[in-house]
Amino acid sequence: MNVVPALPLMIVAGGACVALLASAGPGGRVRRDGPFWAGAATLIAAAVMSLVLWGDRQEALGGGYRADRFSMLLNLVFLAAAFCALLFSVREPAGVDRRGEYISLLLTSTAGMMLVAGAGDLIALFLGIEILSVALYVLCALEVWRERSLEAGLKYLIVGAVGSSFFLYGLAFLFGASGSVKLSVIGENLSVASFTDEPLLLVAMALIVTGLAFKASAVPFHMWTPDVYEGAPTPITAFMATATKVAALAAFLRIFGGALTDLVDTWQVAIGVVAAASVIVGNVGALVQRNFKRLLAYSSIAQAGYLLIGVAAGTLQGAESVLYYLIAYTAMTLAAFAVIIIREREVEDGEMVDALAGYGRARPVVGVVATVAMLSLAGFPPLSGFIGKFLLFGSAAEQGLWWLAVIGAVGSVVSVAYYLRVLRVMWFGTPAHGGEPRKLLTIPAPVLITAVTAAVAVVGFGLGASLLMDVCRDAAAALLAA
Amino acid sequence: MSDVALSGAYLGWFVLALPLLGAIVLALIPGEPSRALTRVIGVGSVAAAFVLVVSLFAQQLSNDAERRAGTSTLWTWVDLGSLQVDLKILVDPLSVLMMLVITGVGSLIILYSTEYMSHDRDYRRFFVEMDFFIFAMLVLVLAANFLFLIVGWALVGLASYLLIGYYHDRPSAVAAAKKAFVINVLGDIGLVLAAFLLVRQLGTLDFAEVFAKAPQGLGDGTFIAEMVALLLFVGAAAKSAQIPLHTWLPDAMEGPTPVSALIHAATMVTAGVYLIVRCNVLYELAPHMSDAVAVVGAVTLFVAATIATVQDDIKRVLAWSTVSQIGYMVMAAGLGLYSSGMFHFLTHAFFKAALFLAAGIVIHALHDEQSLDRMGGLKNHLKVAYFATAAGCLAIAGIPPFSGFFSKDEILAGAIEAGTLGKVLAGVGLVGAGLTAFYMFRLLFRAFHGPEPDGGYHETPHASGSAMAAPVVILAALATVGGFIQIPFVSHNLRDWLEPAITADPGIEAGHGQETLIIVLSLAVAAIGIAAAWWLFGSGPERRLARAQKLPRLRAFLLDQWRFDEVYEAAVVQPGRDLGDAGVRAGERGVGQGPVIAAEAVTGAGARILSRVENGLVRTYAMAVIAGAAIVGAILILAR
Amino acid sequence: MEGIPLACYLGVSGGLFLLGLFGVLTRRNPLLLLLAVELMLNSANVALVGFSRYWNVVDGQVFALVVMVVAAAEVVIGLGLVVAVFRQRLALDVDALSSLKG
Repeated sequence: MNVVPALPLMIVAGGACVALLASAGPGGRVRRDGPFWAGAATLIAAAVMSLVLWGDRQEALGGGYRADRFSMLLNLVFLAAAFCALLFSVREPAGVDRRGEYISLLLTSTAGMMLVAGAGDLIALFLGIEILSVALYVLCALEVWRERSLEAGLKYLIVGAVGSSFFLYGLAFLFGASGSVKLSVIGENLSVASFTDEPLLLVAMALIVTGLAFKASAVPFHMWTPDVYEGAPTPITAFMATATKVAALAAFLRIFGGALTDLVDTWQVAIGVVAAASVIVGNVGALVQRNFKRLLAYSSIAQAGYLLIGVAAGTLQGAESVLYYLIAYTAMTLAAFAVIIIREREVEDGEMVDALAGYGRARPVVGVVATVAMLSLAGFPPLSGFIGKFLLFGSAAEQGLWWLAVIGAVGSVVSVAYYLRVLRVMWFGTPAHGGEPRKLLTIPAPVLITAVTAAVAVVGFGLGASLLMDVCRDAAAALLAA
Repeated sequence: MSDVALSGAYLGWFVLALPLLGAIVLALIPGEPSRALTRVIGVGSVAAAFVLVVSLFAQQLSNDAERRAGTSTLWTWVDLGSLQVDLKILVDPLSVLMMLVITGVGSLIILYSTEYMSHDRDYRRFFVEMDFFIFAMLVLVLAANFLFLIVGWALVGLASYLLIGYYHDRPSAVAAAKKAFVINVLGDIGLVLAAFLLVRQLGTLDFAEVFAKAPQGLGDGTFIAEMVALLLFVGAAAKSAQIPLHTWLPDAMEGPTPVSALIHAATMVTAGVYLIVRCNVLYELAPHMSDAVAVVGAVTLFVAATIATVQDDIKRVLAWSTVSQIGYMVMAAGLGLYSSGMFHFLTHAFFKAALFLAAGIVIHALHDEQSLDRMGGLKNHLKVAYFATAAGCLAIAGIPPFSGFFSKDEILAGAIEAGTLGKVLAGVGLVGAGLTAFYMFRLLFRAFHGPEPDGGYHETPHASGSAMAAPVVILAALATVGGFIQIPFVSHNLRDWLEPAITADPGIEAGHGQETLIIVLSLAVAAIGIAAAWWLFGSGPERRLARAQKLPRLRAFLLDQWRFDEVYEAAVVQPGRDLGDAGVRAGERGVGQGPVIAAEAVTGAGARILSRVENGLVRTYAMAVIAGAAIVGAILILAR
Repeated sequence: MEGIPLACYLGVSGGLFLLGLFGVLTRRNPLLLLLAVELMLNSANVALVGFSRYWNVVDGQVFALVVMVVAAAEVVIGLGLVVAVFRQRLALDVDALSSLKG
């Protein structure tokens, strides 16, 4: 059995164990710093391994895991998001108090995501989704002394488990309709007429869309998102908002863009409707939010909608656009959350938008990071968020899905209102008590560096889009490679 | 159009970079930079860009017609395999003309602001934003493909948002900025959708390729061609404040006066005209849409002119006058008189900037007083402003030899040649010309002639310093003589100059008879307008007040600006109110904010409903998942 | 195919799934909710085993085994959280856990 292609995955899984052991290890120093360094080293090693494996498809674990350009590119995204979450957590209560569990779970969740992106059969896909979710349930609730953290964790678990059962049931039916759990065989079998048991297949697709849309927090499966995002520790929220969404979209692409690509006419409208609903509900819902984390939660619902528009296009160009936008989205969302993390340490209500009043003037660097992130999320040219949306909506228009392109574009206009509100408060707002914003503490260097790097990436991916797109095109092509 | 045609095309990047660098350097200087340094960087960067543009212009002049256009590419920006978009600029006579005005008039206006804004405590921010605006505008006119154009389009919207909302502690300024931004973004969407159509049909976004492929790829007069033209016009109308997307511009006068001069006279609002002229090939393929554009222009010029006749705020008169004058340009572009439209753009930039800056001198001298009721007899105090305003008024009213005479007559004379529709619109244009003369001289007489306002001025209005006076004088001089570039019967320099950029020019040329007829008619209506203004306002407020009572309904209607905001209110806001309790918010803020509040009311109501559904109960969420699964299943079955 | 027909598997599986769904929607005690979810996951197992027999491949049964492990893990986490909630002296009622909303 060839395990080399699965090495990045195994490194991360092993790293999770090492981090946990280190926290119970001998000596105060090892206990204090061991988990962090173990986590960082693991992530870097896995990233290097992913780069080494960049190339044509290699199968591992009896075809259950596929290392191709698609999974390796997404590996890098997951690892980068995890790395940022790790850096964000340096002073986070949960990250300090229970660092062993914290970092170990973070790595476990990352491993689950990597398994999703590289899944070669339905079992691996389900396993990956569950590993990433279960680890996240715990991470959300890790600050057990905080009622809201606990509530977020339990809610996420219960609703998440319902979502998972739908997904699993869908996978079971897909297996029933196609006679195989292997993604590649499913695709072949379903294109043969005698294998096509339509009612079974339709139910399977509906349930799979449900399960994955739940993880991607698309409407109407989104309702857990604002609550969980608000309640969870902020670095974890940042990780969830980026990596989980990437994983869910990866699964969408693997199943619908890869295995079921021939049935595009069947599923196109359904995914399109989910996408449109997400764009509308996410953007409208964000308008009245005063809590920045909640606002970003609703915004992430809308972003899931934009991404699903690209999935609904059902073309290689659509998949390429989704990959590009996923990477851009990860960068801009991490930059946005960095701002919350910085402010949250300073004041009690740091996650409220109003707590940022005048913050841009007091801290221009943070202000600029937030500006870049917000403008890019709003799809403002020439930032990467704009290029991504242009590609996504363009790929929908290319397929004649004008309604999706128009809804996406109009949704972006609405979104300008709330992103701009954040910026207005930051640059021109006056703090409630007047004068300068309260309590400015030194920003932990890792957080600041991450924030600035993410902002630079947002601009860079925008101006140098073609370089990133070349990579994304190769990755998307791997979806359909035999 | 090969890359070697104009060897200096790469200089365009430096033209772009200078104002951007100016803005960045100025923003990054730690601490509070000295005012002198701020001035040097703020004005210097734009002035340097102007010098570069002039050198480009000189190079173009020395080349023969085919070698006046060139492109320069930095790198491939977006590469989808099938679609490739470069980071590329196009330097041709049209973009150089635009750049000359943007950087030339722009640096004059920024120079003017160094004194006008001297009392402002946020001195630096103003110049950062001004330089950034100039940069954005230059991106817009230099872009060589639609994607890059959209970048400029959106950046201009952002910059104008910042500048209109410059006084961010004034709620009215914030509201005006928001309104402008939302309408602008609406326009951006039009452009983006047009770009999607072009990609789908032609597989490219590059100007040269699009224009070359369009006749085959889109077809002449096909639905797709009309659709592209329509979507582009949505973008153009939003930027150029054409009906029904015009409501933001008058409100945008909340910004400082130099901003009004820069954005709302010389540069941003003409972007729409530029777009139509740039896409002349596409508009020639869409005859119906072209007619529609011309009609919208004509309606706008008439409606805005009527509204301008009753405004009492000096800047609002000029704002509505701008809307009206842009209407002339749009009408010209719609009728296929592309170079005439650009000619009017050029002269308008001169006289309207002069008028705004002169108004700024008045406002500055009267300590932020903008109401014409509180003015009068200023000609004795503010000589420079008086003569500049007079020159501007004569120019805009179309009195020879002032510049507006030549450009406006060229549009009207050309319109007569452009079929039946053209003749009708020329009539509208003539009426508008009379109204223009009336409202401009009304402004002149009320502000500068007649008795001083009741109780006189608290302190004698102080004349401005040279930093403010010099730009006004230069612009007034240009407004006076700028029209001689192109004289009827004699020369059409501008038209020849722009020829490489306007490849689809239908070549409408007014005969001598029409030309003479229009000159006589327009002089007559202008004279009537001026006479009426003198009769009503020349001798003080008494007669005016007496007359105003004769037509109270019409006056109220005009004062309400044809009730556009109210119609938006009734058509969109009211239904939105019924949706939920968001109406309370809109009501508190007062009516009259038009589409922005309307949109807010609808979405706000939705947001509240969503917020209520999000009730925190796990079982509700599970229910939504189950219902969602059922819905997705149903769609899958139905859409099979 | 011999033995129990596929329809029976699917009937049982569907019944269990709906039973679980009903439980999720009507119960307020988190323990019972977990039980209901467990029911839903296992209903999928029944379907998997049924399909596995129908196609005569073992993949479905392997899948079912994996699902059992996953379901156990999920319930363990759930129970852990319930204990944590209990320790915080919060009511064991999911409807009471609604401070996060809006």
